[in-house]
Amino acid sequence: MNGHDMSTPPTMSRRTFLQAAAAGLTIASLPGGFSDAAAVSTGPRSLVCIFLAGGADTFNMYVPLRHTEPGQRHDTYSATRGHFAVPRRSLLPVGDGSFGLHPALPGLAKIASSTRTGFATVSNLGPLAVPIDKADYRAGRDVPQSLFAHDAQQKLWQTARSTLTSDHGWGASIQQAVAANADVSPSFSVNGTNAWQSAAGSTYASLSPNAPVARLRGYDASLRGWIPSFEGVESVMRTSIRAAEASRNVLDQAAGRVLQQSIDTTTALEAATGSGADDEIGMGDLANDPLALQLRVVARLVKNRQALGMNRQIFFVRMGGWDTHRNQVALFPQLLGQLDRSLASFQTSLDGMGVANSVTTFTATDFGRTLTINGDGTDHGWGGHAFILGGAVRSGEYGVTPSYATVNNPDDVGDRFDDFAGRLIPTTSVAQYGATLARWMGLDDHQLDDAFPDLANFDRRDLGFL
Amino acid sequence: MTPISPPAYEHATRIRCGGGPITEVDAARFLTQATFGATVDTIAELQELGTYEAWIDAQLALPQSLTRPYTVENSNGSNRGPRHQIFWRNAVSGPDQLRQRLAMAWSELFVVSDIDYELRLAQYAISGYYDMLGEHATRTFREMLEAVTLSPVMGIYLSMLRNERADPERNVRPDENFAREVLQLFTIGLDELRPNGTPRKRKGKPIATFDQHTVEQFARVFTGWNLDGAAWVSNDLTKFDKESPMVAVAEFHDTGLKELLGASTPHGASAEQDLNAALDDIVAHSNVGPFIARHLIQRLVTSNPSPRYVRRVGEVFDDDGSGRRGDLAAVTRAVLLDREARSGHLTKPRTFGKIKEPIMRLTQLWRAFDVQPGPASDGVLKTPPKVVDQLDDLLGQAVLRSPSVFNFFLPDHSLDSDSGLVAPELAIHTDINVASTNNLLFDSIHESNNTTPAGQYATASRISIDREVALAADPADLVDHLDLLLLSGSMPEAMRLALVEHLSSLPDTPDGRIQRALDAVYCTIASPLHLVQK
Repeated sequence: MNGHDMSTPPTMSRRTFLQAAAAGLTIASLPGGFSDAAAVSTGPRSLVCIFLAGGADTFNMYVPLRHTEPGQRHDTYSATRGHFAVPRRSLLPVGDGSFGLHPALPGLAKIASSTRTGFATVSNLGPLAVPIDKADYRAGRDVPQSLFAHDAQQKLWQTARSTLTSDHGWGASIQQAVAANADVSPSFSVNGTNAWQSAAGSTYASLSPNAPVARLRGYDASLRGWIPSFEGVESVMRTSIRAAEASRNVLDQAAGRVLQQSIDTTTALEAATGSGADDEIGMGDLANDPLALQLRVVARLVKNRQALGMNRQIFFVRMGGWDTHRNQVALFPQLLGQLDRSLASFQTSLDGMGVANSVTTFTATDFGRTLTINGDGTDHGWGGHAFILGGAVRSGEYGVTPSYATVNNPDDVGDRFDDFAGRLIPTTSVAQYGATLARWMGLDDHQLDDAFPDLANFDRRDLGFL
Repeated sequence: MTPISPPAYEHATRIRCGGGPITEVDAARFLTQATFGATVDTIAELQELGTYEAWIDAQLALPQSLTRPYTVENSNGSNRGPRHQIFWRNAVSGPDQLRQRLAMAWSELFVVSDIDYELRLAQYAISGYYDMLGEHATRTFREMLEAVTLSPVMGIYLSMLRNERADPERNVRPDENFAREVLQLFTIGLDELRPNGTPRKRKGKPIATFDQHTVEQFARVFTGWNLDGAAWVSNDLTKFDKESPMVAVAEFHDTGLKELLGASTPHGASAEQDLNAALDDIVAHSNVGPFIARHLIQRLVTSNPSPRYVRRVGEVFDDDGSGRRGDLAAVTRAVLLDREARSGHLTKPRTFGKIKEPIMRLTQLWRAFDVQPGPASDGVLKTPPKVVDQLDDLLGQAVLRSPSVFNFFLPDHSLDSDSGLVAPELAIHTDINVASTNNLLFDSIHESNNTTPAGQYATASRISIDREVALAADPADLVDHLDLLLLSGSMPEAMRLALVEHLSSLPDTPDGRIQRALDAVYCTIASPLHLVQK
C-alpha cells in the first residue's frame, strides 16, 4: 500500500515547517512530499540504534497525561501499575502536554522542548507480521514465534520479522541498499555482534569503546624499529591467511576471513580517526559511563565520516540492565538517568559539530514489560514504546496509544490475573518503524519491501516521524 | 561421595577411540581439548601414561584448585581483581587442568555475571559459585542443578531470591525470570529434541518444549526462598550471607497445585517439596541428555558434532552404565573419548573443530612457554597495559563476567550465511577483539626479550623462549616444534615453507637465533590457524 496515511497528523514543529517552506513545498503537499524531498537529499546521514537490552519498561518512560479515551487516562494507568505508576505531577510534559516523560529523563525533556532537535514517540510497538487481535492471539493465528524470550525477541526486533528463520537484519538491509560498495563497511557496532547488522555478504565493524583502534602488530609498519624483520613477518602472516582461506576446513576458512577483516578494518579506522581532538566531540564528563563511551565512539566516527568517505553510516550501541524483574523502583530511575545523560551529552556533541540534522537516533528493545507487576519488578511483555530524536525528526506522538487497563483491555493478551495479564499486543509493527527510518536513509519503495516483507500487511508504510 | 569406579565408564570405553600408542599429535590435540593448553611436559606425561582413560582418572582424582580462599584473603568483597588473578593462576599452572576446564565450561551454561551490580559486591560468593561448579563437574547433573538453584548468587542474578507467591490485591505475580531461563538456557532449550540433538518437527516446524503457561507454573514453584538469616524485606543485601544455600520461608510460598513439564505437584506441598519435585521433573525430560551433551561437546571439542556423537554422549547422560542419570564425570569421559573427538579431524576434515575462546589463546601461550609472574608483581600475572582482571577489555571475555545470562556467545551463532553450521565463539571475535588479542600475544612474546624491564614492565609476566632459541639453529626443527605445541600439528604446508624460509633468512648468531625464536612463536600464534582447535 502506497502513500502515507496521515490520519493522525504529527505535531508540526516550527523548524520542519520552515524547512519545508524553504524547499518550496506547500503545506498541503507536506505529508508525503516532505519525506520524499528528504530522501532525495544527498548530504551524509547517520542512523544510530540504541538497543535497550533486557526488555525495557518503556511504558514508564513516557506516560499519557491528557489522553481522555477510556484505558488511556492517567488514572487508569496509575491503577494498573500500582506503586510503579509515575504520578501526574512528577511527569515532565512534552510538546502539547498530552504525554509526559519520566522525571528521570530531564535531558530528553529539554531536547523534546527545543526547536532544534525533534523528539518523537511511537507507542506500543513490537514484532508483528500482520495486525492481530486478542481472538487471533488466543487461537494462535499469526502470533510471532517465541514471544517473551529475550534472545528470540531481540532477533525479531532486529530482523523485523515474526519468525526466527531470517538471519538478515534490517540495519544490514539499509547498508546493502545505500552503501553496498564501500571499501570499509560504514556499519559499526560498538557493542558486539547483533542480528540487526548481520546478513549474508555484508560485514560490519565491531569496535570496542574501551580499547583504542590499533592496528595488528605484525601488520603495522610503524613497528619496524621493534621488529627488525618486519617485512618477513608480514609476508609469513599473509601466507598463513591465504593458507587458512584455502583450507578445506570451514573453521580455518572462517578464521582466515576474521583475521583479514580485522586487519582491513583497523588499518582503515586508524588511518582515518587517529587520536584526534576530543574537544570537538566532548562527552568527556561521562567518560566512565558504558553507554556514553559507546556514543562517543559514534560521535567520533560521525565527525570523520567524510574523511572515511561515508555518505551513510549505521551504528549499533547497547545498554544493558533493563530486565527489571526485581528492585525496579530503585533500578529503573538509575537506568533512565544513565540513558538520559548519555543521550543528552551525545546530542550536545552532535549539535556542536553542526550535524544534528543528519543524525537520527532511535530506541529498540527486546519487548515492553508487563503493565502489572510481580511485587518488586515486572516481567516480559510484548508491545512497548520507543522514541526517536534528531534534527530531522518531526516531533510528536506516533502509533496508536494503547489501553493501560487491566480489565476489558482489547490490547492485552489476557484478562486480569489470568494467563498473560499485562502483556500488550503491539498496535504498530517493527516493520513499519524500521521502514520509516530506512526510508530516511534513502531506501526506495522496492528496497523497503525487500527489507521489510511484512510491510505490505499494514496500511501505513511510513509512520511519519521523519 | 564415593568416587566413580571403573564400571561407570566402561560404557564410554565401549566407544572405540582408536588403538595403538598415543602419538605426539594425538596428545597435543587431546590436551587442547581437555586442558588450558598443551606443554612439552604434559604431552610427554600423557604419552607415558599410555591411555586417555588413565589420564582422565588421574586428573579427576586430583584435589580441586579453588578460587574462594585466595579471593577471601585478597579481596575486601567488592574488589574484583583477586578472583580473576586466581582464575588465571589456576588455569595456567593448576595441576587439575581438566576440572579447571570443566569449571569454565559449566560457568558458560549456568551463567551468572558480576556485571550485575549486586553481585559485583559479592566477590566471595561468586568465587564460591565458581568453585561449586568445578566441584560438581564430577557429581550428577541433578545435584549441580540443585546447587545452582539454591545458590544466592543465582537467586540474585535471576531474581528467584525473595520471589513471592501471587497477591492480587497488590497486583503482584511471581517473578518468571529464573523459571524461564532454567528451562530455556540451563536444561531443555526451546525445542523438543531427538536423542541425537536434532529438533523434532511437526508439519515441518519445531515443537516448543514449553509455553508461557509452563513458565508461570514454574514461577509459582520457585517462590518463598530467602538468604539464610535475613528478613524477608531489606534493601541492602551486602551484609547478609550470600553463600549458604537459600532457605524456604513458608509464608511466601505458593502451595497450590502446579503443572510442570511431565508431572504435577500436589496441592499443599512445601517450598522444599515443590522445588525437589520441579528439579526432578526438569531433569527427567528427554531433552536434557542431548542438550547437555551438545553443550559440553561445543565447549571442549567441536562446534558441529555429528548427531550420532551427540546421541552417544546423550545416552551416557541417560545411563552411565550403572543406571545413574546425569553422571557428569561419565559424560565428560564420553565427550573426550568418543571416536569423533579423537579422530574427527581425519574423519570429518571439512567441518570438525571449533574456534578457540580468547582466554584459551593466552593460556596456551603462557602454559606452553612457562610464564612466570614479574619480579615486582607479588605473584600476580600481568601483561602491560592490563592486569589480568582487566583483560576482558582486550580479550572480550572473563569468567563469570558475561554481558548477560546468554554468555559471551550463543550456541547457535552461525558460521556463515549458507552452510547451516555454527561457530559460537566467532561472535566474540570482533574486529577489535581479534586485533587487541593479537597485540596482547605479541606484547607478551616480545616481553620475554626485554632485558631491562622498568616501570610497569617490572611487574609484567614473562614467558621463556630459551628452549626455542636453542632449537632456532635449525628453523625446520623449530617450526615443527611450535606446530606441535601451538597448532597440534595442523600447520598448512604453504605456511610452514614460508616460515622456515623467513627464519632461515635471519642470521644464525646469538641475536639472530633470538629473533628467529620470537618471529617463529609470533607467526605461529598470530596465524589464523591458532584461532582454530581441531
